[in-house]
Amino acid sequence: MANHYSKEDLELYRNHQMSILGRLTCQAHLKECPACAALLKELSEDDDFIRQLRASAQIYEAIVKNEPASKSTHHSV
Amino acid sequence: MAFTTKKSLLAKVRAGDEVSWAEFYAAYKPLILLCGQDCLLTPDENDELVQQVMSEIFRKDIVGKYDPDHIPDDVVFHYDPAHGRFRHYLRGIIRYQAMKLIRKREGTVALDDSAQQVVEPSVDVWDEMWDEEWKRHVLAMALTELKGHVQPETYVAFEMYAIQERPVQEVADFLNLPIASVYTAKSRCIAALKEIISKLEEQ
Repeated sequence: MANHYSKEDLELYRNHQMSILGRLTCQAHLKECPACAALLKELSEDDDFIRQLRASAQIYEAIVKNEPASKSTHHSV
Repeated sequence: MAFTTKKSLLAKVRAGDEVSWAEFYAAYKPLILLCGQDCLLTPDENDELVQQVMSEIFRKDIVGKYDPDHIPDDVVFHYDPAHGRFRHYLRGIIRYQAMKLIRKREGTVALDDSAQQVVEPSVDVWDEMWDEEWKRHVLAMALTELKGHVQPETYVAFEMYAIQERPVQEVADFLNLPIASVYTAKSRCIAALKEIISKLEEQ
């Protein structure tokens, strides 16, 4: 690929949804292209963000349903 | 593109607009309850905490007069920006009311099974706790607001894939989209969420 990969392309790459040839080409490109490597790193950061979002949504859903919220980082006093 | 021009609750608070009890209660009750849980309040104490905090904010004595779930629509408040940032104002009220409940319990001789011995959190511990709960609150509110900021199909794709953790192929099939479009939806929603969060964080 002469140009850069899009986020969608890199999602397909990291989720093993590219053809073998596409995957090898992308892998080679990532070794040489800091911009695409940074975009791939951004996707991992997005994963962390979504994990936090999902956890908050679950805690809020539980508290609204009147269930005690279980938190991974509970810091009772 | 936003499908609604309705102002968010926090935008109304910031602008000093009229905020109804029902709207405020639905948005902040979970945050108040979570703070109470962090202080190891019992469920009854936690309910009392919500009522006391709401009474304080709305300057209305509701305890024993109204069912907090059915307060008349004309009970409203305007936030006075002279109080400083709203999140700090709210933090102070919740802490003060939680401490009152802890002190009240300390004055009782017998504790029932559901009540644990608790000590008042120091200001540092409280602030750390509050920052974590506020972050959760902002994330949960941002997710609620997201619906009005993206196309319905984009939202559904994001909710199914990112929040419900359904396999991407299943989401794509359900919405009759290519897999790449599900990833595009995820990317758009994350960008929209970050924008919403940065606005909420200004409070």
